Amino acid sequence: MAELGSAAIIIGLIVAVYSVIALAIGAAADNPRVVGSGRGGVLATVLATSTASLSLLYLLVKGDFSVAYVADYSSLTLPWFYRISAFWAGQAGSLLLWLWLLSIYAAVVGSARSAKEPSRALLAPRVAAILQSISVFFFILLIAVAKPFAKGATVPTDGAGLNPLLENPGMVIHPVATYLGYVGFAVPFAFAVAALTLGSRPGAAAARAAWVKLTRKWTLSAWLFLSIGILTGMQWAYVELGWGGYWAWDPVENASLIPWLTGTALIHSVMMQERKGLFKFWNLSLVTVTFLLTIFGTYLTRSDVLSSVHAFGDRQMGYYFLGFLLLTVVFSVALVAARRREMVDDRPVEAYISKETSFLANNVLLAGTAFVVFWGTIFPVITRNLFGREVAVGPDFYNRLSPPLGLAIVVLAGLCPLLAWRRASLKSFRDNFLVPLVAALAFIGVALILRLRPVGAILAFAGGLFVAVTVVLEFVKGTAVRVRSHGENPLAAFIRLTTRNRRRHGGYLVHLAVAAIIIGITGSSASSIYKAEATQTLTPGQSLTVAGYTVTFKQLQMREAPNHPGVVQVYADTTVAKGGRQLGNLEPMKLFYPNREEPGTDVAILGGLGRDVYVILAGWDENTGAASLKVMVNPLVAWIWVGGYLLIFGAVFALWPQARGVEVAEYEALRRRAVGRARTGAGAAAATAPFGGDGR
Amino acid sequence: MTKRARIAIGVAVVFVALGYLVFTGISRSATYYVTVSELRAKGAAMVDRPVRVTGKLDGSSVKWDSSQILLTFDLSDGQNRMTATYHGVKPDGMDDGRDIVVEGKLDQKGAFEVKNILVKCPSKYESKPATGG
Repeated sequence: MAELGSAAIIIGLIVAVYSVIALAIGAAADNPRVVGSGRGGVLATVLATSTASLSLLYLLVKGDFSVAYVADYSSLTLPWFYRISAFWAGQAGSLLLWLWLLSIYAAVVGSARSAKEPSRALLAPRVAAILQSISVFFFILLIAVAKPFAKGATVPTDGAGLNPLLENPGMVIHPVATYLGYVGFAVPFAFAVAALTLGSRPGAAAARAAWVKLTRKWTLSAWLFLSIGILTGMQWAYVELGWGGYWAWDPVENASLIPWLTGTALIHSVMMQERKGLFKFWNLSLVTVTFLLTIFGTYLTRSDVLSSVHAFGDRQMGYYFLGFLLLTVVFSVALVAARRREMVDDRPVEAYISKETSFLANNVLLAGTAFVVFWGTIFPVITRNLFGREVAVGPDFYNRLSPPLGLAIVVLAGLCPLLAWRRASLKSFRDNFLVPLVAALAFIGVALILRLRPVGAILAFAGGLFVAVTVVLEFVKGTAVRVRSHGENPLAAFIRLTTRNRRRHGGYLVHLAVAAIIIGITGSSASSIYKAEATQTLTPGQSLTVAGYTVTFKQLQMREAPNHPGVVQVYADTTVAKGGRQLGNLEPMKLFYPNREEPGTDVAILGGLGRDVYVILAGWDENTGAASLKVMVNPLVAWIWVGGYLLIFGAVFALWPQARGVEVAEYEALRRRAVGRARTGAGAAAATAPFGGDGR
Repeated sequence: MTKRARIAIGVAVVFVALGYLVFTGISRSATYYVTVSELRAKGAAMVDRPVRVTGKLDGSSVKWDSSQILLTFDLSDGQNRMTATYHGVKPDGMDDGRDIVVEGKLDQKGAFEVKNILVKCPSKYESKPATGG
């Protein structure tokens, strides 16, 4: 099996290189036969990556410990689904996963040859060629640096197994989702670049105008997966790592946040190009930067360039990544320089207060935030190379900068969707924002009267409230209109309203979700509201009270882990009460693994919308039976998770295919417009498009 | 002045403001990142300044006093050693020879008071800041 896997990787590299050459030559010469052959190469690549991936999975599940990777990450006692997740627990496996996903994406994108969509058909071979060249890079990594099928020096009788911290359902989803997101951003990048290589062949102008629309679902789903990856990562950190937080501004966390920020900017700014022919150069830059950042993120996790607590890998890997990043930058910049005339906007921005300017502001802020996080993350590298001395910025740096930026972005999340295109009138402004503004100001007023602190947190809550009221009001008004005009009952009206324009209402739901997440983050990080913690050693029967919650330690117990034979759990049997009322039992524990020296910690959380009671068993005294407990009361953390689920729902809602009739009408209008604009070279027709009604 | 220019100025103002925040943010929260030997070499100059120190854990030196919630351990880089004390919960993964990063301050007597422990794992993405600090 290992030999098969190694061979598949080498064959994969050969067919991938072949497909790049065939697709590039075939597309340049408009030769369908050569393109077809290149397409065959793409499918052969998928076959090769699938063979390699399935071989590795087979070896991991079977437990063939002669393969070093299997010996490092699998073991006989590991439940089967964690043996599968061992696939992406290490360097070689996760790079193989990247490649597998990328090759599948290339095959899906490259297979488009529909006559109905000439732009897609024109772009497809070029897009596939670009994606395949990225695959070539990953093949080289797997052959030269991180070899998944390398044999170990010795064959152990059992593997080291997965690190206990990775044995968590979140850790099964998190890496895959993050990679689906990372890899997904390669697709819009490939489309944007492919559109620039078309030159002046027939249909080129229409295809250039169409790349944004053709990649909308790819971009949005990449963003969705990256969001899921970040959220599950946060949740894992919170429940598994046992330090009571979910985000530490660690370089590897930042590595996923930075492309998420630029990706968020991208899904907004491409709307400007799709509907108004604006921001063309900016969009191209943004999609390129986002793609580079996904590679950079993979690089950060795979090299020790930054002393992240998670970072692993070796220097050699870093040089490969740097080389690839540089090559991509040079290629993109050269292409843009050569084709800059194709990126002139169709029209200027017309008014200061309009959807256009609010999107511009949103992009400036998101890109600015991404830059701040990026700068903070690479700061040690810069100081090391420039001054020969490593200087790091701590969480303080981010915690100082992120509140004002986050607040501004949230306020825009309330404003943007409802501002009119071109020019917002005072009346529409009042209609849409008077109630939310009054609600937010009333909240601030009450908070000030009650002397709630800190002021920054109050402003952030008010910002979240502003967005929430705006969105809810919009749903209520839209439903009311339908009830009146169509005579529908409110529920039916609400469902029709939202499903008739999934894209817009899915977006509203995501904004509502962001409001909830901001409230959760503010509540749980602004320390002086009612977050509290205490650590104390308790003898059986003693209790500890934190922020009104009384945690009583009954006794220390021991048992074998129910779902993991051989693992011994030592847990503190505790109860939580507030004001004399019992709220529940908690069992914070330490886990002892058969082949590891050090025990692992499992925290116990009593969750709720208002607060989490979070208890860590820090240690115990065997002689007295006393246990050291750390008790934290973390306010509003659940809002982050609830907001996260709503964000996922909203994005899926927006991605879900629109019911037939509606879709056709809208798409037809859009297509006419794109073609019309391409023909006239100006977007004069755009002003009459039905989407103009979006902002009323 | 054209509308375009004014909007460009607006964007520039935002970026200047951001630049200012970044600059002051860095000057306030920057900490030196040194090895145990580098910290020793600096000596008195590093007293009472926030610093991150990296070194390998001596597993036999780890002591946990549950009554005082006090963790003490030694870090070394092959040449020099230092003893660190931490008032908090012992994080997972403190095996012998593990790479550890501690954030904290060196006091007058040469003892290192830890604010945050970060346990590094060289081969698997796993560990994390052990405690909020």
